[in-house]
This record gives sequence, structure tokens and C-alpha cells, in this order.
Amino acid sequence: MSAARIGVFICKCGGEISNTIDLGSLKEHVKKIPNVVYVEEHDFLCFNEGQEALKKAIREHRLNRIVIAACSPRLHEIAFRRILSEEGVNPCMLEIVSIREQCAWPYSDNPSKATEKAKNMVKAAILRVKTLEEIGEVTVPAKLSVLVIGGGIAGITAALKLADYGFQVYLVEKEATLGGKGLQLGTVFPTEDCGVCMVPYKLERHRKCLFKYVELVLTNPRTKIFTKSIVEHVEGYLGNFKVIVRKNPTYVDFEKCVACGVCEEVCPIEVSNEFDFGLSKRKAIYMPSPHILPRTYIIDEENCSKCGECEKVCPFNAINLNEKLERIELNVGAIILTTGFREFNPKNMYGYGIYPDVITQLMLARMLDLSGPTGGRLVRVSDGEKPSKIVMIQCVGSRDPKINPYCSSICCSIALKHARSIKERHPEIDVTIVYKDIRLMGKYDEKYLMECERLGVNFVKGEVIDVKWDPELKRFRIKLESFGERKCLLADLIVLSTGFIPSANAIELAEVLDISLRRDKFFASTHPKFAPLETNVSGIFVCGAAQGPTDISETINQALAVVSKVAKVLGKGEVRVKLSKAVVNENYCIGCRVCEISCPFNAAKVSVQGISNVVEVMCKECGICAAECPAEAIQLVNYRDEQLNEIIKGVLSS
Amino acid sequence: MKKFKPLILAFLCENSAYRAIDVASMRKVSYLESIRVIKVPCSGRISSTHILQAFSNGADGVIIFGCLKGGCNYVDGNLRAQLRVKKLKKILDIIGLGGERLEMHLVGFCEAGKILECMNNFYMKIREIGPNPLKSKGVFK
Repeated sequence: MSAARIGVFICKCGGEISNTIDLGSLKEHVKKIPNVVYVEEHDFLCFNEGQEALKKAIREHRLNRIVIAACSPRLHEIAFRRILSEEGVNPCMLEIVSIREQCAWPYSDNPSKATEKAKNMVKAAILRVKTLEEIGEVTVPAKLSVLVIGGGIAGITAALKLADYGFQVYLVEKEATLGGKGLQLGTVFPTEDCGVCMVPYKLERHRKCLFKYVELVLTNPRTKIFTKSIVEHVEGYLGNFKVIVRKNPTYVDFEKCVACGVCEEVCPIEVSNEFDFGLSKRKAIYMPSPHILPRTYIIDEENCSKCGECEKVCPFNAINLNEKLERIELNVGAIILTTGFREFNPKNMYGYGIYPDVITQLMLARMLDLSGPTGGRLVRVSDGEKPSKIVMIQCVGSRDPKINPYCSSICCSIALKHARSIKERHPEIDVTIVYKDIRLMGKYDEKYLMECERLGVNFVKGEVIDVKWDPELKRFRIKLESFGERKCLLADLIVLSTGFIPSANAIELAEVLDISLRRDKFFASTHPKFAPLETNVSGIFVCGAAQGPTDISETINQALAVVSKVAKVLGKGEVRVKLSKAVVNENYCIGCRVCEISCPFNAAKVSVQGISNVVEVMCKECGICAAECPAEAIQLVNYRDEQLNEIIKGVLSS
Repeated sequence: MKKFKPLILAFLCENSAYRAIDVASMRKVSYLESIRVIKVPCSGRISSTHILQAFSNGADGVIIFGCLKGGCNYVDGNLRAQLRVKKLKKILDIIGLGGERLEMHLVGFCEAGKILECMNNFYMKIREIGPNPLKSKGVFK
């Protein structure tokens, strides 16, 4: 490599710098430093004339390393680097010293101090710029395909939009049907749409009628749906993940099934329907709800006796009871996690699980759903009669340090939505909400509170201490403490507003994908504000309720945000990476795996030969591995130990 | 006796503290000029060697600024740095330099006031403690 020819450019910043700092003596000082071949001062380096002067000097004096003493690198670093690359100098060969922010401004009353500090800082920068290495770029080919894990509202929205953009999308869902929690909700706030209609399907955004578009499932070549499937193994990195999906047998081919229902008639086995929380009965081959997607019958393996009756009668030969488990290998560029949440199970709390008339909000939603098991009729589960006094208890399993410390953020809106529809349909039913705080997170949710108050819903602030069944009154006695006073409420139906917890296999999935979870076991994002939807592995994104309880509007927002992120990263078909990454000196590496453990982005991996290896695409240039490495074998380019030591020496020398 | 002016090295994370210093200087608040600043990509990049290197080059104190807890751009770089500092403080005590010559603070990128306050307090503390003992032992000129 040719000898360093350093050019130092000092900006006057129109007097901001030159009024305080004695540029003459600074220039004299700089000229004495070896390898400095050119020193120039200019009024405004950031203006066009200044930039032209910079270019001219680089050309005429064949400068290959530049020090700019001006304002903070945060302001014009990118512009200066571009000038360097335009002049054929590697853009990394630049060091900016902020003599304005760190010398001229703070010591404007003491020019000699400011000049001394500026001299020192510029000298340190010259020492550093000498040690900088040229940095190249690599391009890694990226697959134009995306794996979406989880077929709820978030997953389907993301998949649809990505298919629109021309990506091949694979949608993996662990259940036999798509739609997630959205299907169970009845109506959803804030627009009171039918929950089923909120679940988008194939080509349309939000269909108003599900059945109109069923054929489109079969016709869109860009989305491939795997139901009853689980992601078993993932390896690779952004642009090139290899995924193995375990597809459990569904026994019914949803592409052939027309949902005629002949099979259900002949099935000899009858059990209770968990989709409706036991409010209805079903066969072993069944359709949990008429609205499920894809519209197909599904077989419940646990209860099916494999008698083969259904197989015989199916007019379309859609049923194959001998279907075997399959493993499918996929090659994708990015992965989106939309595994959603599930309801917290309030077992033994407030009599849940002991008395059938203590139910959860999701169960109430099934009851209030006009196409649900009761046809929208409100009943007591124990005897099927209409209840007269309903008490809703908020914050069950959330905002409780012993169970889940976080606020589940949507349960208040759900409770108000249900209270309102009960009051609208049956004004004679007495509805009371026992709450800690009413927290309405959505933009339009305040109207529910106003309407509930207008319709006469009672609100009691307090904490429930005990729920007991009074056999004489045939009602529950709810003891609660409100503002230091003990109160007792009577009810014949108790609805628990349960909190939400991560999906059942979130932990397992986090292990497979090697990504981190928060303490509450939802997927963690790299930064809560600036990168809320990115996980610590580049190329794996998370959206919807998989990163914390969210309502439908927020879920859709996040899904669309993730789609634009994926489209940006993969859209060009290749990923460009600047090689200012961690590098391993194989002679020093002892294969201790400290880098592997300490890397927050899983970029460092120790190979079979016992030598660490950094995947450039995944490295985010933090240098944590370099600081942790006991053998000093792994180093961050341009922040290597010797480079940092050089600048430490330079800064401390007087 | 001539008043002792400590030389202090500050490592600033470019995502938080370095911005905060910029904000401070935009308000034209003057801070002590004998605090020398080095920008690093993450406070997690600073290893024990760099801190020791600073002491052996004549620094009387080393102060490290990282992002706030949960706000690190690189997930947990700041917390790792904190652990490292905690360990190194003990080592500094053993070798006789004194663990109090090393400090680490977590600041947000707009907490200009906090960062200046930390620097000033540290400066005052080091002035009380006195110069780096390596200086008087003639380890370097």
C-alpha cells in the first residue's frame, strides 16, 4: 500500500470556529506532523465552493487520507464521504474532528484553551487516520421469498401484501385453519365490524364477504399455505435462510374440500367444541365455525378412531386418512414472526374452572357473536338461562407483579365493547365493571366509555378479594375493596378480563430461530423505539401480538411496516454489505465460543474446526465480541485494538 | 503547590453520549478542557486493555458513557461494558491505581445536563484523589 498522504482541511465555519481558535498556530502545529502533505483552511467546507476546493486538493496533491476539522461528524459526514468516493478515495479514509462543538463553542471565552484542545484533537485524528484500513463491499444474493410464521391477522396481512409486491410467500400455521384469534372475536372495536371479516384472505385486503373469494386461495401462485405445520429448523442469514417445515397430516386436502358436510353426518364420534369454549358440540371431523379459513373440514386426531366412514362418503376424495407427516425444505430471504398471543388461563382465580358461570371475555365474545354457538343469545353456561346481573373483573393475570407485570393494553376496550353490546341488546341486564384503571389505548376507544356511561353500565374502582357462590341466593357474592371500603356485589355471570400471554410455542420457536425473548416471553426487538419490529437476527422480523398485546388496527399497521422493511431489504435481489465488520485472526482464535455467546446478533459462529467465523450480513459493527475475546483474535475493522490504542495515546499526549 | 489539573479520558458511545455532548456544546456550555473525548461505536467495544492503556498513557481518570438501560443499539453492549467496568474496578484497586479512577454512566442522547454533571463531579473527585500514581513512579515522562 502506498504511503499515507494526509490532507488536513480546517473549516472556519464563517467565523464560528476562526473567531475563537487561532487557525494560524493550528496550521503550523499540523504541518509539523509527519505524513501531512497538505493543510488548507476554508470558510465553509460544507458549501459547494468548499467541497470543490476539497476535491481539487485531493486531485492535485494525490491525497489518500483526509482529516476534516469542522463541525460534528453527525452533520456532514455522509456528504464528505461521498466526495471522497467521487474522487476515487475509499470513503472510509476520513476522520472528522468536531473542533466547533468540542473546542470553539464551549471555550469561546478562552481562545488559548480552545486552540490547545483543537491542536490535540487534530493530532489524534491524524494519528488515527493513518491507521485506517480500506473497506470494501460485498453483495450477497437474496432470495425473493419470505416465510411468514403464524396465520393470524398480522401474518395474513403481511403475506398478502408481500405477494402483491411479487415475493413468493410461504405461510406456516400450526393450527388447521388460518385466522388466529380474529375469528373468535365476534365484533371488533373500534368499527364494530365482524371479526371474521377483518381477516384478509388471499388477494383482497379486507373482504366484506368471505365466501366470494374462496377460489382465489387456489389461484394465487405466490402464496403457499402450510397448515398444521411447525418450523423445525432454521439456518442461514438475511437473504438466504434454509428452513425445514414439519407438515403434520391434515387428512383433508383443503384444496379439494368444498365443505359439503357429508363427512360430518357419518362421523360416529361427538365431543365438545373448544373453538366455542365448550358452548357447542362437534364431531371428530368438523368445521369449528362456518367462517374458518381455508373453508374446509378438519379432523381432530385425538378423538378420531380412523373408522374410515368419512373417506368412503366424500364425493371429492378430499379425505385421505393415511396421510403421512412430511418435511418440507424452503429457501427464503427473510422470516416474519406473527405468532400472536393467547389468553391467560385464570385457573382457580375468582372461581374460574370451579363454577361454569365464571367465564372469560373471549368466551363471552363467542356468545355475543351472532353466528356463534348460541346465535348471539346471552346465557348462563350452567343452565342456559338469561343472566340478570353480570360483573366483569378487569386485569385478571395482568398488572400483577406475581403473574404478569405488564398491562395487556386491550382488555379494557374489549370489556367496554362487550358491556356496550350487552346493554344495547338487553337494557334490563345489570352490568358492572370492577376495574383498577380504565386504560383505553386505541384512538377511537374513548367513545365506548362514553356510551357505556350513557347506557348505564356501572363502574366500580377496586380490587376483588374473594368470589363465593351463595346457594341460597343462587348468585355469586363478590367481595371487593374500593377506596378503603369493603363492598359486596351480587352476580349470576362473572366475566374475567384476562390478560394475554405469548403464543404457546414462542419459546420453542425462539430457540429454533436463535432469537431473544423479553422477560415477559414475548419476542424482543433490537430497540424499543428505533427498531421495534426487528429481532436481534437481521432478516427476522416480528409484528403483531407476537411482540406484545396489540389491537387489530395496530397489528395491521405493524404488518404493513414489516412488509415495507422486507421489501426494502430484499427488493433488489441482493444485499450489499460494507465490510467494516468484525474479522477473525485465525492464528489467534482458540475456539472458546465467547464471541458466539456475546454477539447479540448471532453473527459469530465457531466452525467445526474450532475457529470463529463472522457472517458479514449479520454483523452490525458494535465490537462487543472484540472486547470480550480473551485471545484478541476477533477485531472490529477500523476499531481494532491497535487503532484504538493509537487514538488513546494521541488524545492523551499533550 | 501548583493546583493539580487532572487529565481525564472519556469514552463516548456514538449513539448516545456523543450526541449529548454535541447538544451541550450547541448551548455553548463550557466543560473542562482537560477531558479528552474518544468516540466508540458502542460502549461494549471498550475492553479492559483500552482502559489500562489510557492509565498507562497518563490519564488520571477514565469515564465511560453508554446508552440508557434497554436503549442500547446493540441490545446489551452497555450492560456488558458495565460488568467489565465493575470487574476492572476491583483489579485497579488491587494494583494500587484505585477503582475510583474509573466510572461508567448510562445517559440518554439528549441528557446533555446529566453528562456534564457526571464529568464535572468526576473531575472534582479525581482532583481530590490526586494524580495517577504511575506518573510519580516515572513509568512515563
